[in-house]
Amino acid sequence: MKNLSFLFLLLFFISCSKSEDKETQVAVFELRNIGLLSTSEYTIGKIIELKDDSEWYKFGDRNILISCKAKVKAGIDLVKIQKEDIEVDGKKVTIHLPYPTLISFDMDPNLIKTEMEDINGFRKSFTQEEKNHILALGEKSIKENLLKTSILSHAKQNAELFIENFYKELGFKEIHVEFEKPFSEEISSR
Amino acid sequence: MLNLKNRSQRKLALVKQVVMLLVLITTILLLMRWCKKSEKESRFEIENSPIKVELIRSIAQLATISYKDEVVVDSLEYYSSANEQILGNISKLVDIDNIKHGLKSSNIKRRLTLIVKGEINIGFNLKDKKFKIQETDSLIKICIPKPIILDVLSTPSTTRVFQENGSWKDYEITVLKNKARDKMRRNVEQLQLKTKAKENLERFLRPLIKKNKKVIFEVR
Repeated sequence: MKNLSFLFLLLFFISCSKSEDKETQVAVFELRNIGLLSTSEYTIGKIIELKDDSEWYKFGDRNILISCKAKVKAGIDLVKIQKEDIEVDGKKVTIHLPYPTLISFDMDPNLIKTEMEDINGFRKSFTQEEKNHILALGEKSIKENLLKTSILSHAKQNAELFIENFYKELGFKEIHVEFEKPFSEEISSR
Repeated sequence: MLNLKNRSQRKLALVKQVVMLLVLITTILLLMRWCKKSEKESRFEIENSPIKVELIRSIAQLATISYKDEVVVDSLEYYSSANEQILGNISKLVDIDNIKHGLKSSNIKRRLTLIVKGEINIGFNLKDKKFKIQETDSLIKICIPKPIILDVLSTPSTTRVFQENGSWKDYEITVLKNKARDKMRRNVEQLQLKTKAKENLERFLRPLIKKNKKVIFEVR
């Protein structure tokens, strides 16, 4: 009886313990004037693997494989271009552009598919809330590995081509496009 | 006297048993609550699988307006008969995840509510054949295609399952997510942002044209 009362009290305190205060962030939804020139679009695929067998008190485990695709655009932020970044000398123009950056990241829900789900023991299927959480982890993983792809250099080449054609149509004969150093190179050169 | 003592002892034993039973039930309930809470809080860890570049496309899209939006989408299914409602609510009562939905004997069979945050980019596809630059002695005419919605961006990290009552298939959540995107598109149409998109395009392209000529923008 004494043991049971102790267990009861212990569980009572565990269940009543305060959870950590979460920092509340208020998002402001507004209209923004932007000038983003996207020049490269990459479609990236990933298989998200999850094995949920870590809890000792649950009999059985759950495994899931979800395939998803993300569409990522990269290009140049034209807002950063200042007047002095464009130098004109007769039929010759030199333009200094900021280094390309990632512009947008999207995961089309139509391209998300549960490839395999294996539930055994007394475990329940993954809820949609859990699947969304797993997908968010997949999204984070894609974002972390994005800069390992050649998306920025591809965006740079395309931006150069676009700007050259733009000035050619304006009647310039000699066009020089120069890019700022990428942020990582700037840091290493310091 | 002995009989009275026996009776009081029996009563005491009964009270003890009832108290023990109550403690046991409470312990089981608290244990179930703790397990449920820890399951919710437990962080999933995905395997470190590679990413694969599946398609590379060269594009030329100039986004001039960005609009952030948040929409709520809901899917609801009612029980078709009283019998189905009774059986459905009983089955919810034995399911720990849905016990709260079965307590009030609601006529709602399933409900899924999502809160989706998204970003909409409006601008111009400059790869369109309509994008042309024509120059004469006195002016430069830039023909631009009509502004369009370039992107409706929403991801799992910006999507929140607000309520999930009953079990839902993947295609059903896909339908709901697409509904959220359509809602955002409609919101943009109502704000008539396309006119503003053209004004912004002029503001960005004009400084790039360093010529002493009049510049005209024409939407085709």
